[in-house]
Amino acid sequence: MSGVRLGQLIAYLKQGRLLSQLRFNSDIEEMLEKLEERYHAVSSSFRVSQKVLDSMPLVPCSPFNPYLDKNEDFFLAYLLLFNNEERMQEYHYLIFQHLNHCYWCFEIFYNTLKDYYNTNHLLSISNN
Amino acid sequence: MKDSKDITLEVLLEYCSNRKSPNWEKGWRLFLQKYKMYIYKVVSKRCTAWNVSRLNLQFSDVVNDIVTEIFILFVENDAKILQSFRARDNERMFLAWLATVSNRVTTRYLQRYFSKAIVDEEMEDFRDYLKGLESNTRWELYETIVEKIRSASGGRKRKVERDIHLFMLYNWADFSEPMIRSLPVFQDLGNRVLDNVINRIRKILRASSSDLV
Ligand SMILES: [Zn+2]
Repeated sequence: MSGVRLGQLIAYLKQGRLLSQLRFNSDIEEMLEKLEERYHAVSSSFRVSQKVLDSMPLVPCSPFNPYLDKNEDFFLAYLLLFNNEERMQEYHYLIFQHLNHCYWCFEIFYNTLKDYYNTNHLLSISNN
Repeated sequence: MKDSKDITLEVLLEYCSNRKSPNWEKGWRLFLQKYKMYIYKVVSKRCTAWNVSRLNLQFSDVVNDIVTEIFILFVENDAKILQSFRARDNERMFLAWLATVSNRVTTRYLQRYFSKAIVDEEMEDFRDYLKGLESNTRWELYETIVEKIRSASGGRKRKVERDIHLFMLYNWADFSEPMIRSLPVFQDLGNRVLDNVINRIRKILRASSSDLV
């Protein structure tokens, strides 16, 4: 299995994996295809992305099964679909609240976001 | 008076609970003989888990200080805390209870130093320190800091939660300002908001460690 992480994959997806510089091995290609399918499902209607967040737990998770662990739908919605509009404020509040209460999810959250940011940054540079 | 080997836990706790009793002093001597090393072990284990040496603290001084705090807690108010222990016929339960109290005092003691460390700009390697901790200890430390900020922050609950999250991204997760501003929720963050939030929370944490030299 490839060691590529979710945050990196979402950055590839965002930048468009048809960029000529990018050559992925078959493992990553397969993962990207699956992720792209999830993205279309999550983005097909605003209600689906809302649903992703409606399932955000109100109590801290068990260290053995954090809500954000491998939660592709959440990160796709958070990174690619969410914005700072008024109607999203309730969701952002739920996210803040959970991450402040649940260290296990916070750790997954910031590591995934760092992967996404760094990969995105590298791709932007190499694309220019 | 009986030797410590013969004395029951119930009687020992009675001796220690009444300062006017002729057995009070002897009771405490026996208590120390019997439980001091155990308490030292519990405190040392916790200090090792929290890697106190990395915080420029002398390990043995810290352990001694904490054990002293624990004994002061036990002795004060006619051993009110000891009196609150109910299962006096159960030595194993008493040891477990002693460990719980000792761990709580140790955490309270160390919290002051961690609050200081996370805001101390000279301590550049705070994040390296975090990486060296076991995940359960990191979790405990995270909760401790969040709780401290939450209880000291006034104002709207929503804003408090947002500010804690901002602070933790910046200070704990080492996010740069551009990284924070790239997140959908923080794209419209005002120019001075991040600085203000970080400074305000640093003040809160500094105040909570102000009894340190
Ligand atoms: Zn969680």
